[in-house]
Amino acid sequence: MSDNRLLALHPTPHEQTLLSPHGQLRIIRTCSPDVLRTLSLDTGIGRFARYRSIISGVNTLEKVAVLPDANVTITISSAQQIVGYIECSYPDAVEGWRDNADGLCYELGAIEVSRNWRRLGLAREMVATIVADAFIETKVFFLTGYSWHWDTDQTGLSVYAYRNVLVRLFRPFGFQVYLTNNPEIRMSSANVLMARLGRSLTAQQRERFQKMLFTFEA
Amino acid sequence: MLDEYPKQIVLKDGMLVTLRPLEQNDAERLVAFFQRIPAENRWYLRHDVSDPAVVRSWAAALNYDRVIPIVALCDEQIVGDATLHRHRHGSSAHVGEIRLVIDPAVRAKRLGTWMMLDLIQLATGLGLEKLIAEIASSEVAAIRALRHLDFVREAVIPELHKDTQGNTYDLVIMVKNLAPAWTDF
Repeated sequence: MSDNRLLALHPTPHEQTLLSPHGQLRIIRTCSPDVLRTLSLDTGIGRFARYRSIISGVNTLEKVAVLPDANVTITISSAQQIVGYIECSYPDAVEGWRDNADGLCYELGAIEVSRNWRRLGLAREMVATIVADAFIETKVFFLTGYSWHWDTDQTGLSVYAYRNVLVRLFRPFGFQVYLTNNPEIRMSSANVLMARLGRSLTAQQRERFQKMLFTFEA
Repeated sequence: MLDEYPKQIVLKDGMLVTLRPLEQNDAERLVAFFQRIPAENRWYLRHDVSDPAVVRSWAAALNYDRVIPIVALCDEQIVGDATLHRHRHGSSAHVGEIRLVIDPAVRAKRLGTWMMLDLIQLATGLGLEKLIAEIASSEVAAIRALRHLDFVREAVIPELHKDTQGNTYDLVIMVKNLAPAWTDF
């Protein structure tokens, strides 16, 4: 695939239902800002004594949803509340992803399931929905996990055990752990960078990504 | 865990290096690697790696359940060897010991740091809770690198090592806790 074709595909909307012990849920991939505006957050997403969600409200998701090729995937309860979300977009050049004008790299920027809805496999369902999109096969789909964002309070896990949970969540979808000199990743050995190389990528694009991982200090 | 290899890393000078587990057919590469390690460095290793038979025996008797050797390769040449040693049963089953040797030609290019970080990730994935490194007090750069990776000096055994001239050095035992927990102080 030539580099200019990297931007030819776009995330496609998709919706599915899911049965849970607490009722029927809807998972919406590439949720529009208009739909987001009609929803509220479940009480298990927010600020707690020793954990704070990355998003401050639904408006944070709305801001991501309007970005080029962004994908906000959400799980909605029958009460029309967001009980889980994943937000994806092109990485920010300010954060060091400078060589990405052609859209090779695409970032899973945040993933969270409400404290009230955990251990139901919602994160796995949302990730599966996202990677099922043909768009993802044209990308290096990556995520950076920073231990200071993790809810080790409610889970009772150490940051290293939490890291294992993350790795086990993403690995079945083709993600692998990569070493990088990204300064934020290097701030803690519990931090992790994982990436999934799309099937449509050329050897040159894969190699470019490998080198990109070590250009943060250049 | 080993299915994530090979891994590529780029050193400070742009050199591309591949990390992967040692394989049986690496024996001669590993012999050549240890021949390039200066005698003053080999002196502190637990085995006589100047003896090719010793090195070949490691490659011949690989047992990833007990020892996971990760080698760094550049142009098919081994330039680094990092090992994670495990006790599979008993009171130390949660502890891993790490050892690392780097080719002098690629030192000060951060290869050692990458290999240590890789072993930490490997140990984390295997569910180990503590990592131990034993170093002679004269290995100042290695001690500093370990400290940057949150290893803490937990014990010092005075004058346990002697160099080839008979000068004594302490043995420093550094430990990294992979299961730290918050307290409610």
